[in-house]
Amino acid sequence: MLAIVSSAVVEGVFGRPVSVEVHVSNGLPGFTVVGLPDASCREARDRVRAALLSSGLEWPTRRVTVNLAPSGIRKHGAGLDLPIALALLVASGQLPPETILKLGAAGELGLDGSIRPVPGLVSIADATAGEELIVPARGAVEAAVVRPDAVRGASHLREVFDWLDGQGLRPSFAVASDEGELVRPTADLADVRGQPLARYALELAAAGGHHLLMVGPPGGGKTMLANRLAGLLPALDADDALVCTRVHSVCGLKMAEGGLVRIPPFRAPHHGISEVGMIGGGSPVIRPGEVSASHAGVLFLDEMGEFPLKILDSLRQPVEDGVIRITRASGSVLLPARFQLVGAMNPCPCGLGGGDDGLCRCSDASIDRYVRRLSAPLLDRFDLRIDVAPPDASLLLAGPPEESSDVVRERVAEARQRSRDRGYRSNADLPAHALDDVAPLEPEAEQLLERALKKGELTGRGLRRIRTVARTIVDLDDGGSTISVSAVARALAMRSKPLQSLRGAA
Amino acid sequence: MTPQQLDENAVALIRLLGLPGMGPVRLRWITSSCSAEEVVDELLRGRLPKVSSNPPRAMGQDVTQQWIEAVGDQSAYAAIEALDAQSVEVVTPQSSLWPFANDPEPPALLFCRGDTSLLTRRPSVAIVGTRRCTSLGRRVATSMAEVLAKAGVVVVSGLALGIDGAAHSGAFDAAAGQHVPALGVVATGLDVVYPKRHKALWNDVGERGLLVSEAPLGVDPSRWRFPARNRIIAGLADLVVVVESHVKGGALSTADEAIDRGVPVLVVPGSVLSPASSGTNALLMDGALPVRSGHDILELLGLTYAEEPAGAIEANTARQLSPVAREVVAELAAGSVTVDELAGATNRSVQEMLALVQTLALDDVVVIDGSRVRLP
Repeated sequence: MLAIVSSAVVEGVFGRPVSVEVHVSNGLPGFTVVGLPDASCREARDRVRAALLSSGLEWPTRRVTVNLAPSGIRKHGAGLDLPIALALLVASGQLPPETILKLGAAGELGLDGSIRPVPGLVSIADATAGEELIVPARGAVEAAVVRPDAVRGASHLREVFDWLDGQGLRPSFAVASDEGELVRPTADLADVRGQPLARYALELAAAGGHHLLMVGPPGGGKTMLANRLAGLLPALDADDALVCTRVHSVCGLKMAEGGLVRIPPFRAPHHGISEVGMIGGGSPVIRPGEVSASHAGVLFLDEMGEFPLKILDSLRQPVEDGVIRITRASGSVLLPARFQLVGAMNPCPCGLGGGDDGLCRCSDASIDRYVRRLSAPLLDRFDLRIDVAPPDASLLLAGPPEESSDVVRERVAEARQRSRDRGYRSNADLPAHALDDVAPLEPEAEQLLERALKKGELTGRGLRRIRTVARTIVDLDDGGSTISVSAVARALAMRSKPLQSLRGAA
Repeated sequence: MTPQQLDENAVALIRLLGLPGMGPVRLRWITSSCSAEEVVDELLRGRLPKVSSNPPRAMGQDVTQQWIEAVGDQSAYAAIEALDAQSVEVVTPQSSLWPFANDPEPPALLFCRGDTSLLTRRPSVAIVGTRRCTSLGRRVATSMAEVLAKAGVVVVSGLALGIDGAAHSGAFDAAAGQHVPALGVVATGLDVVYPKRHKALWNDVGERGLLVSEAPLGVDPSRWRFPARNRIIAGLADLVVVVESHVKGGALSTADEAIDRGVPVLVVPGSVLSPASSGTNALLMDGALPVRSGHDILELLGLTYAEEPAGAIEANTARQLSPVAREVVAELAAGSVTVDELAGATNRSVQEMLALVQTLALDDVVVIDGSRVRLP
């Protein structure tokens, strides 16, 4: 007898529908899985068998064939355990066939019959056909984000069996919620004493979505500042929240309480990261990397000079396009990767360079190597580049309390709203052709830019980026329609040429 | 270009100079009793010529054996034949351009590329210093050379990383034309760029200034050649300025050579806490004369400069500055500060201060240097 249950597997960050077909026939007892299963799928046999037996159900001593259709794509993961078990129960006559007609399922089975969550439940739920979806109770809330009136969470195979058999209660709907308190990161901007310039740059980065580079000796508070950027960003909008929830689910990251990820993610990979870890990849399953995990949030690279050149340069394309396409022999997937890049680095390997005190022990050659990590094209992507000096010691001990993240976030939200009102996600996304329209320069501001151009301090591309930053500056100030000379001057000052003083005389 | 006429003696000298481990001291020793041609002949016969004096220190049998093996080598001829192709001119002691008339340890020959008239042009000032310099030292060297080159003073230096390179790039900043009074003394053959990173500067000096070496073409860098090169720098300069030097540094050997030749040594004073100034400060303690800028040197040389004195410029710009800007300039008088500190000191918002500083920087009233702001 044949039984079919819908399910899905993850590919990239999206689900791919899979139909689990189980056929039980007379013949020598055996269990075969066909349809490109990988090892974890093939092992389903042992898990399903133990789970059935522990749940007081019967394992058919007949010939069992499991087909995972479409058979052209490779199936991986243990999420197909539950649909296989349910289809097997029907095919072996333990459940009536009509019970599974409109049923989808996903979940890993434990030997005791418990149903365990699998990564990517959001995408799996999205792709699975069926009017009712049985998923692990522990991942039900996230799955409910995409299928609000279909998802039912169950924690044991017997529970599902009893319900389908008409003896037990129907598992309840899982409810995703996008309300309730947002759990913000605990690091608050009020902890950062002094550093008004760097704080301002951080606020601009938050308000305009600009990439930010901070250069300075250790102890300047670069890492502390960067860690607080995510806390300044407004909550994600519906689209971004959904994509982030998917990515978080696939990457197996900690999910939000209500199921929907509403806080912009903050990722800070160590510089030992591999290229695959950074941009995604892997074989046979293509997994999202850090650039995708930080989609719609912040990707912070601390000690940027220590990252291998190859990894830094691999960031150029996603920074530009907001997505990344990974192509392997097994196929090609498109992953979301629209992140805000924040870099922090020392001016030289020993970290003391740039000062006039001559304490730096680095040779010109080693400084050169260090500085070269930051290729000109990548450096160009940073709209805001600031040098961060250690703050005044007296401020650290007895300075006045600083503004908290909540206060700054309100200003940021206001500025972001101004940008959205003009029809753009953030000022960093402003296209060149829109600049004259949304960021018209006051005559004085134009003269200032002209002077900067003549002095050779600015390129054409730099000029455009200056105008977008100036737009953000005005949005934060008062939201005026024109760009003032003061805003342009500040934007220019925020585009310093870091490390220049260290790039030897030649 | 017509091939230059080299006499027998010069050819023999070039062949000797190209031998492994042949430095000025050993060359002087081996040619002390007979001419260079005779030495070459003897070596070709597989023996050392008779020399009345004792060989210099650390001169063993192995060295002479190497010479005998290498003397017949074709590369010596190649180095001579390539001279014209590399546009290298050989200046001998017989030349009217020979600058080492009274030198205690003159080179045997000088390989030159560029404007050889710079050899005898006076005045000339050597600007030397450590390779591991601070950004301040680099700045001092650049601006000093710029002022000197503008006044037509020949800037002599060693083309090393750090201060040396900074000095010559300053000289090129000053003069845009074809002829720049920049004289580079290097320790390798003129076709062996060392350090590689200074290739552009090396070519510039050879084309628009003058590049000299006592090593024939094709000679690679060796440790001992650099102190030897320093004595030529000292021999070509009327004054030697040490901008920055550690307690042990090549720049100090240039200073020693200068003192041996009676060439005054000038020193740029540095912080007593800066390791990069420890050597120069020690020179000051020993009685070297301090200098602060190129103008100080011009004054010592008895030259005047056409530029407006600094005070007048300040007065000019000060008139156009807003009251806040004047406050900023006053704050900066004591040294560089960060924008944050400026905002605090003048009681302005950091936003306002940022805009102001950038505007002033475009007007060249202040310079933004990393996180710090300073007067130019």
